[in-house]
Amino acid sequence: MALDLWQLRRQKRMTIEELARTAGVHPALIKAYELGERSIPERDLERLASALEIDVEEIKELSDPPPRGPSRPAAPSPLEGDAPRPRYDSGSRYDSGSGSRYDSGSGSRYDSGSGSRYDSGSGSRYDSGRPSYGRSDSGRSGYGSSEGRSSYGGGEAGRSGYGEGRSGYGGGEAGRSGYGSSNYGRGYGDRPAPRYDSERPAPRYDSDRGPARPPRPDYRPDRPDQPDRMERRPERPLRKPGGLKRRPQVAPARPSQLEHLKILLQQLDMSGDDLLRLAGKPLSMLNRREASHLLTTCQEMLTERKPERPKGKRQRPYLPESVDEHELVYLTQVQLDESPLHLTLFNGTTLEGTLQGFSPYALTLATNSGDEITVQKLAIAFYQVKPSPAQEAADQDGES
Amino acid sequence: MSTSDYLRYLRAVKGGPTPQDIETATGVPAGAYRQIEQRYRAQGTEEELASLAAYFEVPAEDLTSRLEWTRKALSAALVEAAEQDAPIQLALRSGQTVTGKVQWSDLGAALLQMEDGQEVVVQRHMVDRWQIVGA
Repeated sequence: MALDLWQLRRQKRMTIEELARTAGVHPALIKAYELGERSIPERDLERLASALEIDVEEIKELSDPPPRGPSRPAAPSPLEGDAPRPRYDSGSRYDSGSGSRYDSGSGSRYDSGSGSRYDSGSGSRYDSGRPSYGRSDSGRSGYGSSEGRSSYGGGEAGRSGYGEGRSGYGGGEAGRSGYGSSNYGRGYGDRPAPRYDSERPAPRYDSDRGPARPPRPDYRPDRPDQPDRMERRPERPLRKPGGLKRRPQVAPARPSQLEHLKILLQQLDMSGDDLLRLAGKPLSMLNRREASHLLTTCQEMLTERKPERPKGKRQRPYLPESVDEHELVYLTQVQLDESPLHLTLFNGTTLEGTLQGFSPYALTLATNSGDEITVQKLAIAFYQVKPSPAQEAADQDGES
Repeated sequence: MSTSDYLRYLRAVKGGPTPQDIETATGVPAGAYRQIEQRYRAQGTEEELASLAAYFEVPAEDLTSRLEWTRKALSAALVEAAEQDAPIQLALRSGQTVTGKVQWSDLGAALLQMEDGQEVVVQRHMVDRWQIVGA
């Protein structure tokens, strides 16, 4: 006759973790199988049967959930006092085997407010260490923490839970338990889990460290052949003696450095003796660093010798913004002086007269005959201001 | 004389057609002739210059050979001569040569003081070639 998985496992006095490890099935899946939430597929049936050393036919494909036992008073927790506090360990047992009950009603707890016990049974505890998913101030373990009462989302005393809801994994109150169905909205303990609302005190986390992560299990069902993590860590190879690299010596000066130095020394009119005084050694003996330093020194000396350019002096050819800036000023003065202007046109023709007016493109002259003539600048090759005869005579008188 | 100045000169000789007239007659893109004539740097493609040379009835080399003698290059030479206080010799398109020290120069003309002390204003568009004396 086929039996429920949890019955067979208990007969073999195995914990879920042990069975999971042996069969290579995830513990959560085994829990789901035992609660009857999922039927066991053939593949897992074979594995579980092999692990339990029974025939496949002896396992019910869909187990009935384990019965709920009467609640038991919570045993005094060794967590209080000097005993070491438990840590949540997924590899630990939640069921102790003989005498222990898988679900003990109000007594057994997966995670309780009065000391973390997964399953009380005959005193066996889900975890013997101190829970550390949160911080427990009063020595009461929990998946979260709130004044020592385990509760991920809650903070009310005595109400443990993974979140909202009441009973959780171990099921404290009839009809409210849910072995594997609990989730973030369900209680994970046996007592009504507090509601996570703003009116209640928020769960206390360690502000510095945050909620502690449960330790990573060493056993990986997906890679059962892998040894423990610590065992897998490769040892750091020892450094070989004499493996340290020596700092390379400074390389000799580059040919380009020497060539540049020669040019600079030539510009500075320095001889070989001057170089010896400056560098302390001949060029051929310089290393790269010394050559670089000497180059810098020579360039500074050369800069000091060069006369400074006047500040503000344009470095490129001067291009006035105004096209005819200077010519405009010049012609204005010529017009005011009424000096005779002598034009030579592109074909050699000459014109003479006094300037009557001008524009950027043309000049207007009053010739000696009284005529006015406008000449395009394009036709002009050059022009000169020649002194009038009266002015020439005055100049001659001044000279004599 | 730069290409642009030479084109201005040719345009004057031809009776002063407008740039638009020239562009219409030669097929040069609109605005291109104005750019060639007014820009300081070398402008115009060989095809455009060849079209313009045909329009003005001059050899194409007459325009292309002037690309190196730009107005900007003349500005640089005038400034250099003024800084060195050296006379500069300007060979004009009209065949004359004027030599003197630069007193001022702008984009339209340059004032040279000749050896005899007389001053002459040379129109830059007439300058064909130049050379700084003593350089």
